Amino acid sequence: MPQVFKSNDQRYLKMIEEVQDYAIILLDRDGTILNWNKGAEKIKGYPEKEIVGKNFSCFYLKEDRETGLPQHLINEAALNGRAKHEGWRLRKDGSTFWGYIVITALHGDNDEVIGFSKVTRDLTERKLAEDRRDRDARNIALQNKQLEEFAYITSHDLQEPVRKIQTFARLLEKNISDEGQVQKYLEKINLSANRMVTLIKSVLDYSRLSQTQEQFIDTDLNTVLQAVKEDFELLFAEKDVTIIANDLPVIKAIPIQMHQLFFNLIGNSIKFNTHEPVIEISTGKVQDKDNDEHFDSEIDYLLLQFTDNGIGFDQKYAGQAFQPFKRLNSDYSGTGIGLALCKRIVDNHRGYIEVRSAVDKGTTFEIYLPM
Amino acid sequence: MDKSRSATKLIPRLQGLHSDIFMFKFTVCNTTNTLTMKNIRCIIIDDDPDDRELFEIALENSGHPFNLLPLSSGSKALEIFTDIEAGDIPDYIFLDLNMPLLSGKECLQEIRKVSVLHITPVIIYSTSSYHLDIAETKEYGATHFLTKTPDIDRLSVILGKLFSKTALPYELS
Repeated sequence: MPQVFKSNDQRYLKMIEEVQDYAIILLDRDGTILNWNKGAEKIKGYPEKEIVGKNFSCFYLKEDRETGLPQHLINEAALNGRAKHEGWRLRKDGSTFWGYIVITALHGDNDEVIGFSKVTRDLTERKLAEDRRDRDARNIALQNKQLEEFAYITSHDLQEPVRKIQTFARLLEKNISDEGQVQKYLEKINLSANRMVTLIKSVLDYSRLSQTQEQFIDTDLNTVLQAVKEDFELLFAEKDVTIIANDLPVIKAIPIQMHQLFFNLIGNSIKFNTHEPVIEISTGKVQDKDNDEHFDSEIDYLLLQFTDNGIGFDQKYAGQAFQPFKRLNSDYSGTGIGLALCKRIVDNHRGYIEVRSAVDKGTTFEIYLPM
Repeated sequence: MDKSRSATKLIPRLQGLHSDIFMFKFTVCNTTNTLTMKNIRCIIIDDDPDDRELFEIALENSGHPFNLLPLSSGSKALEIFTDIEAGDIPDYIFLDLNMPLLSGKECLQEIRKVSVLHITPVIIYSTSSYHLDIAETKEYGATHFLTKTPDIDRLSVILGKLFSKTALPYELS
């Protein structure tokens, strides 16, 4: 042991030894650990006899050791007097903590560096809280952006029927003595007003679909399908609808949203069909999705497929299908919110929805849901 | 003024006759005035049937005789434009922006690729007054940007000025 540490001042020893919130240790010129305190044992997990004599680089992550971070820090301390760093460090059991480290160079009589004092504080709690705050801020920013876009689309689409009501009102006024014209324009005004009501209702439906308050519980998709079939009982009979479904699994989901998802998809398949609708609901294996950015590689997914024999649409417009108020077909009435609702529901369940279609060849929806 | 319009077909060509003759349709304006005016041939591309009808009403009061071909989608328009013959070229194309499937902006770009239509005025007819829509459409080669208004009489006045070749700014409202 170098000259300077031979004197055994009990006060200094006491001051450092029992401190629990900071690891305060002594390193020699090469980073070898010379002593230990209670804080070091608490933060890093090693008892004194196991660690004294080892190099302090064992606290560093493998990648940091490979890039030479420990060496870099003591070099910086030797050059500048001290080095500060914050980063992930390793405990004895392999777990990590977020450490705030100050390494101070200690000098001998001739001003040469004879060792280092290293003080470490465990700031894991604070780091996790900061990360959570950043994530929340990003989420809020994203939600605000989505809200802005939605408000833009909504106000735009709601202005349409308003403008028409104004236009037809003026024309009605101009043609006030022509009873036929008056009737015609009154009818149009009523239709536009009804359309506004429908649009507003769909805006509300869309904005109400949130995930945060709802509970995910075991949901039997067969039960969901049965309930939706009951909702559509009359329509099924009227349009001669056939549903072919194999046995569906039970998944953790929000039942009321699953109901709405099935309802919207089946409703669409019936509507956009010029003859007897046949809808197939099947489940399948999820393959080759590990490299797909939409999927979390650590979770298993269920593939739920809805295939119909309806009018279909040109696949090049598939990107528009799930956008709010975007309709792919003006010949059929609707608000264009149905599929946007489906997408929102699938997003709430951290899944993914895709569509494949071709004109007059039917449409297939592929829904991936975490199991 | 006599209102004349042929609903859907552009003036067809008869075999053996020069196509130029069919660019003119002679109209008697009123009983005392024998002034003949050439019909302004217009195409409107808008997915909304009410808007197509309102446009026609505005045309009727524009002060000019016209032929109107209403089309409900950009793809239908492009079908006509890709093989269009010189004699069938319209005088004005009016184009909605907010349409399902092929959007107005995409349709505009496709129209501007058709060489025989490159001097045909394309007027955007849209509910939008968004500055980016105005800028982009100008960049893609639209001739004017006409914001839809509830005042049909005002629209008739603007159309009248347009057809009389009055100098007008890009944005019409």
